[in-house]
Amino acid sequence: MMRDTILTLMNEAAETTGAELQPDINHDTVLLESGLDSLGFAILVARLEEELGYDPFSIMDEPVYPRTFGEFVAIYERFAPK
Amino acid sequence: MTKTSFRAQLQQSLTPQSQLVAGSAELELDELLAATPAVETEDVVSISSAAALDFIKSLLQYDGAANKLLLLPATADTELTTALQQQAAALPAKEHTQWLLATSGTTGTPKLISHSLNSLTRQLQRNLTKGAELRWGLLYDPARFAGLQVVLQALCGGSALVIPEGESLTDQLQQLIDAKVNALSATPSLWRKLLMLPGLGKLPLRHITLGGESTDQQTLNALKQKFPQAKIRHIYASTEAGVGFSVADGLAGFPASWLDNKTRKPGPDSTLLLRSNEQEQWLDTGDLIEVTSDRVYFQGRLNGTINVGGNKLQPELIESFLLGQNGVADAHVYGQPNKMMGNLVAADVVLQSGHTKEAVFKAIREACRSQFEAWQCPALLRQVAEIETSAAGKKIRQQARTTE
Repeated sequence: MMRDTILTLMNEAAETTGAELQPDINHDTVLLESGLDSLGFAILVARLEEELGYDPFSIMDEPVYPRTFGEFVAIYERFAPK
Repeated sequence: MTKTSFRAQLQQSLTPQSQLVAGSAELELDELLAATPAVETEDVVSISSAAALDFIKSLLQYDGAANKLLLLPATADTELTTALQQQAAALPAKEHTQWLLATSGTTGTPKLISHSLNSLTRQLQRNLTKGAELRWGLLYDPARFAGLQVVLQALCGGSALVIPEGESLTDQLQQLIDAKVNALSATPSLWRKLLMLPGLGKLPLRHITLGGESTDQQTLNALKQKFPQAKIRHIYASTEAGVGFSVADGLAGFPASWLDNKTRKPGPDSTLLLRSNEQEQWLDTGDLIEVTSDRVYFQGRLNGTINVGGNKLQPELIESFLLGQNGVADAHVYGQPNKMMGNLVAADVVLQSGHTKEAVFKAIREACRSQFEAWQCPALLRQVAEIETSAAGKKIRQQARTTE
């Protein structure tokens, strides 16, 4: 569910920035190799904040840098309002 | 003090059609003059435009008698009023009555600009035969520069002035229709709102004026299509400069030949510099211009830049592009602060009826990508019911924030 939301918005960010997403993004896909550039990720995080109502990277105490798509999804799940 | 007061000007410009319509009240201008005797007073007189008719009466009573007329916008709260009154009291007196107008301030704190009745009325049309045929509608706050120009043009041009009451634009438009208004001035933002109202076509418009913001080609075209018989002109003016110029050829921008280096020239920051005559200092308008071989186009405010990861963008560039897209009725582009990029380009979009958000946004994304760099394209597209405008009828633009 969270995974689907993120994938949909990744596709939208790719459309906005003219990027080609890797065809099969999965749990182990390295984010830097997903096809999105830094602008694309900025857009993705901003759009997720719009859709979900929170930005985990601005509310976390210690900065965490997700490396894979799976880690990225996990961060959003962990910080979801209970 | 001054020899030509507002009263004296009005007495010269009366025609049988000179009339003031405020809501349901109709007043002949000569009766208004007789019923509003001049009042001897001193120093600063504050005049609020909250009640437009009283505002005009006060202008008649105090011009030529008071040293300073402080024109307070209807929206001014106690705090702003006090601040402006202090600014007004501190200004040195002049030979003539000073008309003190607050800048509309799309950004920042308003400041007072001093005008004389002469400087405010210098560019008005004085043909009373033509003027008698016109009925002006007032959609601006008369204490603002654009609104005051409409009031002075109507009254000093021998025309009727119709002041609609109430908050809703639909109600105001109905009053303008009932009063057979045929001359109307509004900002491009306000015209786009009016164009979305079904009743607009019932106005028998002959004079259409756009001002206060830079005018885009799409809005000019839409008005031309709706009112093929009307004279359409867009005005460039700044409260600071007092006067500007008007363009009547139906095209956005103005002819490049008007940059004559005597009263108008491009400045070092590509902004437009103005002065009213060759003896005066140049005034930097802060409005960015792009000069092509035969035309000058406005590109937004120098301080309105959106900074996306170190790249700079004028929101107006994307805004005018969005206005040209199928299904888009109005658009507002601005920078949304973002930790990673400094700002992202955000766009609020009003859809025309019969169009879906999904289809229009998808088409916008594709069209933007083919035309602009990725960082220039709206990263955040939002559908809104209307674009918020300030009391002066302009889009509200925040000071661009950067992380530099």
